[in-house]
Parts: sequence; structure tokens; C-alpha cells
Amino acid sequence: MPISTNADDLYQQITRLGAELKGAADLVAGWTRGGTLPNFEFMRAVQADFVVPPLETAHFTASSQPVIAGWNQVVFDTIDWNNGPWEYTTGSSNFTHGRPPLAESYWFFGWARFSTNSSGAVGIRFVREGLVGGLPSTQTEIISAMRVIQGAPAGIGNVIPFSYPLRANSSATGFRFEVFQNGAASTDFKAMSLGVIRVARL
Amino acid sequence: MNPLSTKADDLAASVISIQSELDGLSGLLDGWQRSGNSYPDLSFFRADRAEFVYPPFPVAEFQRETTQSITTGAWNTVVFNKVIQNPGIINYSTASTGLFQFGRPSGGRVFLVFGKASWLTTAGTFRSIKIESYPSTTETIMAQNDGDEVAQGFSAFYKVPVGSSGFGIRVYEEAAAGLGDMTLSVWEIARAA
Repeated sequence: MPISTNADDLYQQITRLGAELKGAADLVAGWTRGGTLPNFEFMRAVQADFVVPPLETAHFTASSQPVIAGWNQVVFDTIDWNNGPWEYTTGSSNFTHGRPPLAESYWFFGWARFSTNSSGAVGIRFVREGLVGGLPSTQTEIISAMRVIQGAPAGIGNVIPFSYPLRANSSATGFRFEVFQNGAASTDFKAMSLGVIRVARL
Repeated sequence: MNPLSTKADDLAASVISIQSELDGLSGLLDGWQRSGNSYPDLSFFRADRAEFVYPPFPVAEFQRETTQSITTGAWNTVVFNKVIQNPGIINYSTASTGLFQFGRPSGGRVFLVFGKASWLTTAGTFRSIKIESYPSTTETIMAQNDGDEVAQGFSAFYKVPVGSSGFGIRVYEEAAAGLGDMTLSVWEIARAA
């Protein structure tokens, strides 16, 4: 507060208030980076309650799948939701990255269902598409496999779960899933549920 | 913002300038504090890096520590007899029949449900794990494996159907083996239309 109504005292007080206000305004401007929404370079909170959970997630469902033999690409027919950086069009098998994945970590999980069979094995593999030395390249990794259940109830057969972490770097261009069976030729790949969470980034 | 001089007109002009700046700042902060409480209550924010001392999504964990008898050829609800932690995202009592109950309408809430079950022997041809909504019986079989596998893992999204008030974790075995133990983690991970 001004110590008097003397013009010099008022001048000093207003100057001090102006400096303080500018400091606060500059701090808030840094938090909004020129806009009006909070847009922090870094923030910390002891407790945070997110009405909508903050992670980027997606869920895809495949149903009404064909008879398969050997390895077959999975075609998802439903995008239940997708608020992450994975681009996908139903009817295709390939996912692409909506933006270059700069050392991002994704967690893929879910299950695949196969019809009853009398022999053989079933499996799921992840196919990474990217560039190696500037040339297109694919890398495959089996992420779940087991022998078929002999005597499982009709219509259910095997349901094999999977859980797979992926570190995607800027050379990655996309990915897909493939399923396998080597039992009777009439074995169907019945359905698949794929969940994805973007969990980390360096 | 600083007064040009000690003249009354210059002082007044400076006060008006400061007042205008303060009003703008105050309005911005009011918008970040919708609830009227003293903490930030934002409709949206973005951060390059954020550290949450407590992780920002709620996690509940349950365990079946002891053997549970199973009726073969039928689905059995697992009764978890230990609550490792539960911040309140779902109501559960170890004295219940195994039903997890939502405390509020929950259609569209998405939980990541994962864990493992251990079986006592390799008897029988297969065993299964599913999540079943209540009171509707919408179900998702998360794992159905050969009977030689005495440990089954599972991980799946569970989107709560509109109208559901809870769910149960149910297991099935074709021949007598008995459930040895089971763990269940429930993370509230997303919201979907």
C-alpha cells in the first residue's frame, strides 16, 4: 500500500505493483505458450483426478473371420474407439503411424479365438514394418502360441491371450497382426480383441 | 505500465493499465478454476512432461489366496478373498459372492482387466476365464487354454455395457482340478462412447 498520497509515493507504489503484475503475467504466459489453454512444458501434481483418463488408447475387434491355414493377416472390422496415434481403416490389415513414433512405447494386449480342432497349434505374431538402411523391411515376432485344445466345446475352441510391448522408433512405418493354425483345414480363426495403450515416450 | 511521471494524469493512466492487465490475468485464472475451489480444475490441458506423484489413473487389485473348489462343466464365479488395494473405482467385499459392483452409472467406462490364474493339476482338457457383466450376462472369454497349462494369463479391455451395475470373473474347467490362486488387476484406463 502507498505510504502516503504524495505523488512520489504513489509513483513508487504503482511502479512496484506493475513489476509484480508483469512477473505474474509472464509466468502465466509461459504456461499457455501464447494461447489461453494451459500448455505446460513441465508440471507436477501430488494428486490428479482426470474425469477422462489421460492415456491414449484404442480398441479394435475382428469377427466373422475366414478359414485359415498357416499365417494369415488379421483384418479388424470394428474400431471400437481410437484416440491414439494409430491410423487404421476397417477392411485392411495394416496399421500406420499417424505421426513419426519418436521412441514411443506401446502396449498391445487382448486375445484371439479359434474354432475347435483335433490337432495342431494356434498362434499370433506381430509384424513390424519399417525402414532399415532406407529400404522397406519387416520384422516378425511370435507373441502367443500353444497347442489346440482337443475336446473344447464347439464354438469356442481356443482363446489365446497376448500381451506385447513395442518400442517404436522413427524408422517404423506401421504394423499388423497375423494368426496361425496348422490343424485341420476347416479350422476357423473366429475373432480377435486388440487393445493398445501408448504408455511412454523418451 | 510504469507511470511516465508523478503527474496525476500519468499515475491514473498507469493504474488503468495495471487494472486492465490484472483483469485479463484474473479472468484467465478463473477459467482454470471452474469449481470455485483453490485447485486447478481445467477443461483441457497439455503438457510435454508431467510427473504425478500418485499415478493418474486409479488401480484396484484383488487376490484369491487360497484354493477355490470348482464345479466342473459349469462357470464358477471367483471369490477374491483379499483386497490388495481399491481406491473406490469399484465396490467389492471379500464376504460377497464375487460380484464387483459399480457405485454409479458406468456405461462407457473402460477398464483394463488383467492377471493370472493357477490351477492345481493338469487334469481335464481345458479351462477358461471370462468376465461377465451383471445383471446382463454379456461376456468376454479372455482365455481358454489346454488343460496341460497350469497357469493362465489374461489381459483385455472391458468396456462396461450401458445398464450394467457390476461384473464377475468366472472360470470353467472341464474336469476336476481346482483353482489354486488368482490375481486380478483393474485399471480405469479410458472412456468410450
